[in-house]
Amino acid sequence: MGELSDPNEKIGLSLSALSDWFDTMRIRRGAYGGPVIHWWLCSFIYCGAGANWTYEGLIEAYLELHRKTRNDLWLKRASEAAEYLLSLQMPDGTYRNSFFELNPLQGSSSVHEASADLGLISLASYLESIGDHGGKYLDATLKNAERSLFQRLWDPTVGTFRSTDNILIKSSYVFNMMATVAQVFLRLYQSTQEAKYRKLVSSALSYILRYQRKSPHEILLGSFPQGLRDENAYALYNARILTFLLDAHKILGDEKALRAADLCGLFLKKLGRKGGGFAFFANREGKIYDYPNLVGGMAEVTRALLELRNFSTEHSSFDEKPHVQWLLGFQDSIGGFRTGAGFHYDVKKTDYKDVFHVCGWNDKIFRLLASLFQGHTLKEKIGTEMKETCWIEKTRATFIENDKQVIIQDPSEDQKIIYRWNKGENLGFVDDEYLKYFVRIAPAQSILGYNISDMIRSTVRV
Amino acid sequence: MDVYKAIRERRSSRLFKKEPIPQEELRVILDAGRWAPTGCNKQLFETILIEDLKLRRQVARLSNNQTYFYQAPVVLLMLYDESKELVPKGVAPDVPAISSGAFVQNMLLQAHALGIGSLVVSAITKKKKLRQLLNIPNCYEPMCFVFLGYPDEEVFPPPRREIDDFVHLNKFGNLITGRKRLGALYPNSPDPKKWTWEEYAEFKKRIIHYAGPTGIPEPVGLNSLTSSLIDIVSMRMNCRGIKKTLDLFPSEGLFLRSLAWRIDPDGDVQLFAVELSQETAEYVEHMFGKDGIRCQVEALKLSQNNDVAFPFEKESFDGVTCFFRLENVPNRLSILREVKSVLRDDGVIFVAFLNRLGAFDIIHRLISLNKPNNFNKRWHWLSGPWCAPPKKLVLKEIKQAGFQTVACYQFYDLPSLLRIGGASLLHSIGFGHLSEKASYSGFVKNTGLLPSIVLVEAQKKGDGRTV
Repeated sequence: MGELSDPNEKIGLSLSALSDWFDTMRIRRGAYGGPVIHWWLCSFIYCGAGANWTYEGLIEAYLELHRKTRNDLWLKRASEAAEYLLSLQMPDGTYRNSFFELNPLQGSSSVHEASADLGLISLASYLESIGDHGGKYLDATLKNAERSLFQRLWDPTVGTFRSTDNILIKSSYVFNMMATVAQVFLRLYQSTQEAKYRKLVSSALSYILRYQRKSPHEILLGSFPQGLRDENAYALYNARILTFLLDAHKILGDEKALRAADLCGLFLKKLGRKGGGFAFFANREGKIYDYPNLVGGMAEVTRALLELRNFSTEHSSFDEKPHVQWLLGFQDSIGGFRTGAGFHYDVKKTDYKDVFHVCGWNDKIFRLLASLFQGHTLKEKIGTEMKETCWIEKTRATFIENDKQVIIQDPSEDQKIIYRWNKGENLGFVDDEYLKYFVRIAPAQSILGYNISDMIRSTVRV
Repeated sequence: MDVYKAIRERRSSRLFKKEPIPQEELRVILDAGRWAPTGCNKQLFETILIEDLKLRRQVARLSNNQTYFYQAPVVLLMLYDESKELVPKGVAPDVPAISSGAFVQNMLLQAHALGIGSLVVSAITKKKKLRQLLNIPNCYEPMCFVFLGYPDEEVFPPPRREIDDFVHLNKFGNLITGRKRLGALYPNSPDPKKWTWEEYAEFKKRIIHYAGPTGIPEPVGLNSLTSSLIDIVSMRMNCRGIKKTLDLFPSEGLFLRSLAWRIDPDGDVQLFAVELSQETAEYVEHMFGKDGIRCQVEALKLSQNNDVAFPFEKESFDGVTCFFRLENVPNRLSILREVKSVLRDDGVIFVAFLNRLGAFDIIHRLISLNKPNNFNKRWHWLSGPWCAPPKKLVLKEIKQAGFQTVACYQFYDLPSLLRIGGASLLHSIGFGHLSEKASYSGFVKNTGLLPSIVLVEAQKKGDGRTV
């Protein structure tokens, strides 16, 4: 982005470009698709839309922009996204295609369904606040919450939500996921004053708080491990728990939640980096890992700490500016923010995964920037195409994105297409020679520092 | 309710609503149970109603971790006193089981008549601990659990065995129809070549019957690797503009369903499938319909001389998919030739199969060393009538059938059990720090000499057309 002295103008410009980019990612009305890059598994070939956490940030950002600009386009965009979610709801309350990086799959993913619900609840309450009717969005959330989240995930024996239907495995207890699911019931309690929702939330809250690290390694103090099986403390996921804790404090007046949020905030600050941004995670010994640095995830951390600033004197001095500045450095001329940095084993090189723009990460940045935006109008669009050199292991390639396509091509003379996704389509295309880099690979090879794309070791054209 | 109707309609429910069952109705169900016949009318049954949630969790751990302990509003443990049986154990050892079975079946039918769903689970893995936990005297044998609740799903009846296939005259093996007896649930031979199509069709019926709507009797499940495989097939189908496609023997449709969601979001692509019998075809079509997938499923035509024919017009399809089925079929070549006849001139077939001496095949062989003629049911997804063919042989057969192989994608994988097992082993011997690296890619790099899974894309050789 250009050098602008007025930070608000900078944010306005960034928001404008980002919202334009989101418009290019619509598969159809309200449905946002595209490749998905995640730190543990990517989906390059299947690019269809689904009901996932993209919609929480997207809907809330559009609503925030409507609140600040009164431009009805933003409300229309939020409503279209919500209508699309409603169109995916199955009779049993679940949403089809709610797995993000694993789509398309049958069944439903707790955290993505719950996040979509949070977007719908925000829209419903916003519509009510401006004298409109948001009942159907609240009804859809209630249906999902009652029939899917509660029926499938509530574990009465321990008094919390599991992250999967699989009852007896320890890995089904993931704290950030249970926090997001509990947040749905918390917001529903706020909307309906239904006492049973309050009970569920209080119980889940107590369960989560039990696992906050109170004494061990100095760095880990205040952090939440990922789950009962994974003791790493990830910045992004801790930020999501923190947001839930603050909501619990706001809605239920729970002081314990605020104290826990305070501590968690301290942990997140320790992961802060000098030039802005945050490290990816700290392992159980307190060793900090920077990469892969997910920009959308870091936006969530910044947003959580900003919210905490309003409630806690200890965090009142938190300065978001270096982090926002750092984030803005990842925005490309096409308007989207790249996924992050450090997917390549040589972190100095830009990996092809770094440079993809993903709806389900950009929504988090969109929401953060919209909350910081002070102005009343947005600037016009600034870029239509971007080109960037990236690396596929040892091969140099060119990443190109415009309104119509995302392409990775060989920079040599023949300019062979390595990867192509025509925006609006469900499926991408990969050249056979490079297929092994674009199929879904489950384990987190990036953070372990080696590559397992050998899974498809040879592709033979006969 | 008419008894025969109740018997035909009752299905095992695996999803229950949280709505409690009224006490009066539970009493009616138990009343039906106590009127069942028991050995010498001794009525030695007892039952424990397990309500306490913490207790249910503990019991679940002793009973193969069944999830129903949390879902079902009513959990009953059926007991039978073996010590007071009048008939000596040596004379009629199964009286307790038969008496309990009659008791339970009466309850299930009565529950069904009241609109209540039920499920029987006899997996009690740690009986001794269960006795201690529930204070069960030693003379009482825990027989099974009965779960009751209002069903939260509609269960379609899986196919049933033909009466003529299990009624023997005078001696075992002489079916009353006089025809040859079809194989049991698991094949007598692991080599599909030794099977007739009719036997294979019957096996498939039973696999569906055995697994029901929740089981996945596939040689490989849908994981990130097989998802990649479906990604590749859908991408190639998209590139080729395939609009009308046929899947061979989708069974529960794990792979076809996954493919449909990629290529057919707006009903742009027409999906067809062929199954081995009318019953399985109806079942599969119903299961797809439940997921909102339009797929026309037809039954394979079997002839007297063990030949097969597809019930479709010649040259009517753009593409054919076959996911992990060539390993099963008694005669691969006949199927591939049928595929050729229904494909248009430049049509394509995508075949995914388990490769001989890949990780899955090696495990299969190790298991069959132990029980060569009677596969262990616990390994059903690795056993059954499939015999991983070598890649070269399949490529040769594809060529023989009149196709030209365009691409061959090779996947390396280890079954998750082996990966997890490998990691656990390293932990147990003090090398836990290596387990993350070794559990997946290390194994693949070091032992993946042969691909576990192969995906072949082959094009029908047309008259003078280029591939």
